[in-house]
Amino acid sequence: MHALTHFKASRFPFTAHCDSRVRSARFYQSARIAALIFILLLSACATPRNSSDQLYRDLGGEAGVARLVDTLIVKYKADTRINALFAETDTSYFRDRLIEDICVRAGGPCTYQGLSMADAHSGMNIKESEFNYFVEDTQAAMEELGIATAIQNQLIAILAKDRAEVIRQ
Amino acid sequence: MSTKKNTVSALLLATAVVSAHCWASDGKLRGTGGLQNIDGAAGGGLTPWAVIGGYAEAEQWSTNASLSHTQLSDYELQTGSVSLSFDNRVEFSLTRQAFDLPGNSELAQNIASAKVRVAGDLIYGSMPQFAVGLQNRRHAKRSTLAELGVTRATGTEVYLSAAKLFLDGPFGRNFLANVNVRRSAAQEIGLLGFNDDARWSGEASLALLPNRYWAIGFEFRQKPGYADTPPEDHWRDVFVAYFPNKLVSGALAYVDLGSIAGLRDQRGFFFTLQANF
Repeated sequence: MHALTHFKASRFPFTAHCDSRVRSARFYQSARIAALIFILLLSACATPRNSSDQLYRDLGGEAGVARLVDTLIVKYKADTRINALFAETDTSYFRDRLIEDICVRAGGPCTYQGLSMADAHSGMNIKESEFNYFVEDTQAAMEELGIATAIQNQLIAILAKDRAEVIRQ
Repeated sequence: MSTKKNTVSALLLATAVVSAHCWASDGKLRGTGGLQNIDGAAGGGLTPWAVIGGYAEAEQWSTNASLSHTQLSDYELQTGSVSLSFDNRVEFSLTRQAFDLPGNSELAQNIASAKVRVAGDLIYGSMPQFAVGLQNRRHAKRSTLAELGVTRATGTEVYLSAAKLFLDGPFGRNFLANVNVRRSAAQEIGLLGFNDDARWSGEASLALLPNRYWAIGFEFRQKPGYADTPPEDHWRDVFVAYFPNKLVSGALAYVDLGSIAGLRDQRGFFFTLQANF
């Protein structure tokens, strides 16, 4: 059958009045479902997290964080997109500061002894893309260590907060 | 589009993927360029999002090519798109849509789109990413429109879009939410031409990211419709998108497009495949 038959036949039989009522009802049904999902998500948000050092413990404590940082160092050194940025970095100093930083931010019993994020990256003019490459290397390191996605996301959310003080300094 | 054309397109896409290694920009995080939607703008499947397509961050550029196929109860919609993005700031795209009864080519349009990120960032900071988009739709089967009594064959619409990726949200997962408002006079997104008076409509999407390779979610696209044309229904879908790497990505969705041009209950599957290079 010629396709036009459908278009032509359909042009007038429906009254706009009747149809808009049906559409409106469906719209409100969708809106109700969306609202319900939104409320469910909010209530999930409101669920209190466990104790304040939960992330530190989830990352495996002192040994776990050290293992993560060591794996990350291997990753970024092999990453030709950003390894030049670390050409003059004292790896052992960087390793200790990064372990401290992650430990503190994850609620662990450490003290960060390094420079502020802005001072540490001053003069490097790190680009938005380069920050993302480091995030990816961190994700790849966590995947390699079999760290659960929910734990990965918590750490990435923490590191993401530093971006404004890392890039374009 | 004929089978032969599809084969050629698929081959071109495959060639593009293979050659992509040499010059792909990859400064953005996986999945954060979305996929080209049916109108060519980066986003989901049925709606655009405030994201800029591809993986070009500041000081980079990238191009995308994509094909999509939507199989409905009575119709099929096929699209082919290319896009170019700069600096995670501006995106241009060209799209061809063919909307047919199977084996019977009837309606088609060409869409030229531009989108600019005007404020905020999808991931970083507290402000959502805001974008403004323009889409110029030109119907390619004007004689068919004339037979239907539709006089307007072109239309330009504007939309405002806001998107945010919420890191470490409920269930320890990342979420992406997007809302749009659109000003358009299109009838069935322009496939049935354009009306005289433009109207506002809203669109919304929400996606859960089980990990950095997958996204699952739903979309809603409001369609105001006009009294003197066949009734239009709001469009909606649930989708799964896969980002195995930064070169290829794809999505599969179950779509419910309601009544189109008098044929009711147009439901079915949407599939898209995209190459980024």
